[in-house]
Amino acid sequence: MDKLQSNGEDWFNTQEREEEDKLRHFYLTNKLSDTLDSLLEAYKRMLGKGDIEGLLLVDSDGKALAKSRSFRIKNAWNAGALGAALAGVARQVEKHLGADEFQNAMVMYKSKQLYVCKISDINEDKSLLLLIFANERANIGFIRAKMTQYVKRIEEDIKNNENIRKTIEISEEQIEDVLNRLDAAVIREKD
Amino acid sequence: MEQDKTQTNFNEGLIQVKIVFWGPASSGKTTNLRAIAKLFPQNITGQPYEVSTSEERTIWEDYLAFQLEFPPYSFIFHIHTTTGQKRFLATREQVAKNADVVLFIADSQEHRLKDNIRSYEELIAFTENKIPIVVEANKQDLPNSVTPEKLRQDLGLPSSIPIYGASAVKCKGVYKVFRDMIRLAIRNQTR
Repeated sequence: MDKLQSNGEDWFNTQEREEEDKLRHFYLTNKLSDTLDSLLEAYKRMLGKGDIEGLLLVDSDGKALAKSRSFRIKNAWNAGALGAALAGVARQVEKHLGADEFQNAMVMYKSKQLYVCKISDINEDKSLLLLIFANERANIGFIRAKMTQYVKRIEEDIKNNENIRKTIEISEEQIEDVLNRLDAAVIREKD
Repeated sequence: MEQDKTQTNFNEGLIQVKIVFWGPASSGKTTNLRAIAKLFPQNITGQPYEVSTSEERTIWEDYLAFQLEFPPYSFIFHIHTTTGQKRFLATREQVAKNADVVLFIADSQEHRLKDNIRSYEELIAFTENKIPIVVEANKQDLPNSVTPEKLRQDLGLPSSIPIYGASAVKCKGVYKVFRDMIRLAIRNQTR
């Protein structure tokens, strides 16, 4: 487990590609996950209402940066892309309505909720988004309010973690390459 | 954003057509959309939009609608471009739902063959041969591009699928592709 954990912290440099499908789970488990877990723990302690299926941090380009350790949504990268797309559509609505800066978007289903919340701006073009996947009974408002206390910590974690900064900075071509290598490794292992 | 065929009403003379652009990343889907916008500037209805990343890669869709009058009918064409990157599969399937015709935009450069095949196979799996497909061999202006006929062979296109050479960035060949594509779409609607 320790080995996997350390690879997860250093996923651009690692040469060890065995157990890739297990690693896939750990790639998004890093220092930021601790912060997301604390947020979840605070929620459980204070309310414990409903079920939070996972927290996922992405940039507005849909690049997944970290997930809570209890994340139960399949394929975090896909989930991240969908969340970022939702924020992208919301930004179009912003232009259409002549509204101010995008803050949050929420989609509610009979049994689920997806909440996309802007945490901060990374630079002029990119922002940091928190995606909350929950069932219909969860109190998203509480998490959102609580999250404001964690913004500084998240920003610090990113500042101090080279790999996360690299993820934010890498180009679309590079990210495609990394994901292709992962897919190839998963297929190899299944064979 | 999704166009439903039931909105088409031949009796009232209004025919709405949903056109989807599909293809690998950076094959020129958005460039084609912009080229079409240049061809018919006076016919654009509503506000076109692009939901894209900081690198100008489509993250959800780009959209353009325009109206053409052929009395007694009035046509509204809704064009949606899908995402090209492998990691955004989840988004493009939603965008492409209920399409009347799909334009597969391939990158004709030799080294992009694998990406073209991957994206085309994905499209075939998605459409299940129920939606007409037109293929555009884009980037014919580049020196390392293959001919449309070579691309037809490489992709294994059946003779029923038309393929056209084009250079969207130079606005060459785009009109012909578009004209034949809308003919197919209308034929598909009236079947």
